[in-house]
Amino acid sequence: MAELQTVDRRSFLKISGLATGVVLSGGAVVAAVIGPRPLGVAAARQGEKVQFAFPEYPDVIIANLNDLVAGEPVFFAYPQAGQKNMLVKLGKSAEEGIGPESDVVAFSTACSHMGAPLDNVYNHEYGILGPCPLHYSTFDLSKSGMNVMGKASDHLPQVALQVDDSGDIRAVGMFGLVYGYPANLFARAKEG
Amino acid sequence: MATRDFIPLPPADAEVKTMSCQYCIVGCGYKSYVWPASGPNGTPDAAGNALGADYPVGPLAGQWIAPSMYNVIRRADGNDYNVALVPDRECVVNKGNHSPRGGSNAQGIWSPYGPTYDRLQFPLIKLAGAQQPISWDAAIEIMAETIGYAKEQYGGPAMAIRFYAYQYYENTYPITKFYFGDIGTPNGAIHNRASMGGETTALSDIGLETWGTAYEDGLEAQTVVAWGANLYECQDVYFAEHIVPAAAPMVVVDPRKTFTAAYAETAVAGVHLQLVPGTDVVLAGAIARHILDRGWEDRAFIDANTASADDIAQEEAWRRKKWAATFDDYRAYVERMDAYTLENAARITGVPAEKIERATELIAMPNDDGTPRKTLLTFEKGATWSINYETIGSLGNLALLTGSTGQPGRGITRAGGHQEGYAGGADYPLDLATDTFEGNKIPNYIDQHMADGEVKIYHVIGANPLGMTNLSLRHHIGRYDLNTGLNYNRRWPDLFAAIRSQLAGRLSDDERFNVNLIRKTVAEWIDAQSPRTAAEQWRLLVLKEAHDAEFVLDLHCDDDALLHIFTSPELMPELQDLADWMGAAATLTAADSGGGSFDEVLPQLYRKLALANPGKPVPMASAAATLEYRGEADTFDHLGADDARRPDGDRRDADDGEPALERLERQRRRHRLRALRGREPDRQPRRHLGDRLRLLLRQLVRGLRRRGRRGRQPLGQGVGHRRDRGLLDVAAASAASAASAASAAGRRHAGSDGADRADGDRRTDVAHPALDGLDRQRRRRALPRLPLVDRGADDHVHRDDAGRPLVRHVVLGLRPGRGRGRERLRAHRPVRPHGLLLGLEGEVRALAGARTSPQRRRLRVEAAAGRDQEPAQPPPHAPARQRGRLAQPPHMVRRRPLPSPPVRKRASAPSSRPLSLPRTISTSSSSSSTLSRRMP
Repeated sequence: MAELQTVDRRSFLKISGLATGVVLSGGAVVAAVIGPRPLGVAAARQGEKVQFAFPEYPDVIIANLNDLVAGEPVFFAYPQAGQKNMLVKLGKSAEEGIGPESDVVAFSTACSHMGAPLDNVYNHEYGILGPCPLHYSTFDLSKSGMNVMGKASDHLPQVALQVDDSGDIRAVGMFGLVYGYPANLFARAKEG
Repeated sequence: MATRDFIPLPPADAEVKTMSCQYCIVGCGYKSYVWPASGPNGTPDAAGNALGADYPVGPLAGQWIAPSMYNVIRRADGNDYNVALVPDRECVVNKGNHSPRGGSNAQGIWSPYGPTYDRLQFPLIKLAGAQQPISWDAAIEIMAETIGYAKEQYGGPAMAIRFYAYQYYENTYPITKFYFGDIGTPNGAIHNRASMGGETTALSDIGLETWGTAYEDGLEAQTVVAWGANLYECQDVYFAEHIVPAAAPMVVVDPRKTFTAAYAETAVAGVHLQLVPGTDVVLAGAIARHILDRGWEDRAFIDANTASADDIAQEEAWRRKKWAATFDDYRAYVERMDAYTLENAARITGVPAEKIERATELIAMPNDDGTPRKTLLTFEKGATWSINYETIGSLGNLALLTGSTGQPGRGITRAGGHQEGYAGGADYPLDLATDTFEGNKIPNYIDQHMADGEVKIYHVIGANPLGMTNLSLRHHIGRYDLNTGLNYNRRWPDLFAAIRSQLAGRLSDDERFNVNLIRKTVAEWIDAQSPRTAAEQWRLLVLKEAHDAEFVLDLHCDDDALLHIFTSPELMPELQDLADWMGAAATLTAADSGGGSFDEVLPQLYRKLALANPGKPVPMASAAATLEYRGEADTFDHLGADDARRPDGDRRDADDGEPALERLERQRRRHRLRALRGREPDRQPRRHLGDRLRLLLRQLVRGLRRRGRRGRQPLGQGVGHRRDRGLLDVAAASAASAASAASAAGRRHAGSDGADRADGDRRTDVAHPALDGLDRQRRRRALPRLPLVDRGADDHVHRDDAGRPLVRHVVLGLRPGRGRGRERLRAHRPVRPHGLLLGLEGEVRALAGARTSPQRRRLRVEAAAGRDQEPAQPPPHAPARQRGRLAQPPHMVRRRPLPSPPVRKRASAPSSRPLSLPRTISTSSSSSSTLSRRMP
């Protein structure tokens, strides 16, 4: 199989249970090296059947709870470079939200309809992401990225987060498939 | 939906087919990829997968397979296959785009691993009360034998057919060929119609096509009108790919601020006309008048294409003859109508005059070079499911005025609906139809012919006449407003508060006078209301029917219950006689149970008036009760037949073999009942072996528990009435659940009924003097322990201000002995209660006017029948008619040699037969079913 060539060609980070350096879109660098996650950490999501082809998502520190300001998104790539996400403190409790108010969530910013970037359309008043610049799809971030208006047939993929005692927020998995990819952990998908 | 973080890719050699989306009329193209689930799967490089995509793909690629586009199916070979249904980026309609529905096409196909797993794989036949699977051969043989026998015995019209017209032409062709051609029955209709009629009859009368535009017109139009249509959310891809790119200004006519309306006002230079529902005709008339005032009509088109007086004189089609007008007549009509001036229209429709002006400019103001503006008129359910004929006719007239048909960027079209196609294998046999309207043959109204007993077999193909228009996104809407989710059968208005000031000082010492005055005042109050929501309108409609009736009976079916009734304390023990006739297991009374139940609204009025006017005689002039006809799963023929006999109270002819429906109809006629009917889903209990065992087990457990409490009582003995006995599985289960609900309710009685409401401990046993009597009754008559049903189950948990649940005061054990009680009742109230209708289809309301004068009753029945006879009239609640200002707009008619629709559907008007079925009120989607019956 030609998987390695493809990975090299696209300069994807190799993910084989090792750490990943992640560049924040704002320019700040948050790098963390933490050991591989045990299998199925993210699968703890309640009431939903989660199918993970590759449970070995990287475990990456993306921000500190104490640095977050409500309504000011922090962007980061996860689980691989090129898969852009947005971490935000919604100011109201959210599904899968972390922190003392359960209001910190992270979502992919690639619209699950046709992939337009949703970086600039966060609406803090309603806690929604959208309308998407292409077809006006809009997602409710407090309801696990549900499409509340528009054309997407899937939720916006949500990043599974964990928070440490120190306030460090770690991305540990992904709910849903990021637009454009056949598998979130793309390089591994090729081996299947 | 399961969350997936990967999707297998179809290999390069996967089976590929081109298909269209199964959902809406836009008709997007999809590619279906099928390959063995065992693999091998495709690879992410372009050569390695069937989509030829190099993953990851970028925005707008149209090659990404979302999780909702993927499924696993099992084919007849017993093997599992992966399926991906991906928007076709080569299709000119969607260019790879998709809607939330289309993107989920793969979720709707049968999969042994998904929510669709329980779809039927074999024909089922009801044998011995249960649905049994049989072979296809056997099913076909049974159908053939039965249909053949019925045709031979009764003739073609004994067959009624209701069939779907979606998916492909191939489906309707054999159905119509068989039933309209070979069998020859006039009793047929497609899935959503009362008869074989069109949905936009006015448009075809005018000579315009329902689907008269091409998608390219959306990009060429200078103005796009969306009348009662929400293009962004309901025609997603048409809107996104064929209207948005040109950014033409839009005129959106919608009572709601939809996304399309917001788009019109913010994204493009359009206008949103937020009209009062049902005033479309006035709005269209005002626009037409404004066009004529300014001289913006397309004279060249009108002169060339509208009918002259001679054309109309030669017209043969009866509806065209009846409604047609020349342009000059039409102009005279529009200018004669006061309602169509800007000021009046603004007042009636609620749309500011300047917005109407702006919309008129957008629709009809000629371009600077003098060419007519290119206007694309689209309309959908807001127009078609409102006052159909007049609204669509008004829009058709607008299209003629502006020349919006048959030219690039100009046209009129429906904008919505499901995939539909109709190819007749045989024409509808109008010559066999027996329904007429004003002497003209019209297609038969199926339900009427079924009620008349003419139809022996009703063949339903891909349609659901029972649940028609009542399901939305697989949820039954029932009595809940589609938009607000409000239950219209709760929160009835407090009539006392509404009319007390009008009554002040006017009550006399004459009881009869007082009752008449109160009723008159209530009627005036109802007429003075202007409802803001569909729920409010329904409440007023029903109240109007009920306010002057001596008896108001609200027929219900509970989730799971024995027969019981709710009524007001003052009406006891009179209504106990009614309860006895019904065989009710319990009677529950309350002055005010909270939540505003219908059976309390009128008694409350009289009670409060009596209290407020101690010196004046105010009797309890409305005997209102809610009759709860068991549980929704108790759908058994013999129970229904028994209930149908009971309302009459006439035991003499109980067993003469008269079919239940006919008896019911006879009774309805005899008692001059007006019935309003709503519906919630019928639940046909499943009777698979596993279910039966589970039920039996539940009964045993509950029976044992009960026996533990109550001493030795054999299982099944606790069922209240003899006729229920033997229905062990249902009745005993109902009793058991009723008993458990009762114990829960009883706990609350202690709180609400006892002296100390604040008493936090409601777990004490029920303590009430009546209950001692109940115990005796129960022992004597083997009544179940406390057959109450928690009335506050789903939608109306009654609570007081502090949030504590309120439960009605219970009167039990008040069954008068048959002889003595009867005499007392006769002395007290000479007219025995009647006015029930079979309540097994769900929620049924019978509103009986038992003691109103015969003449009045007759008038009312005629009025009710008359309303249903006049299809082209607006329904009684339509503002146009309420206000008495509007005449019917005459519709201009196009000259003959215009293209007729490719598939010829016979035009229809509904039945003129006197109505003998109860009028149906669909409690969902406002008035769609009533209207569709009148205006197919």
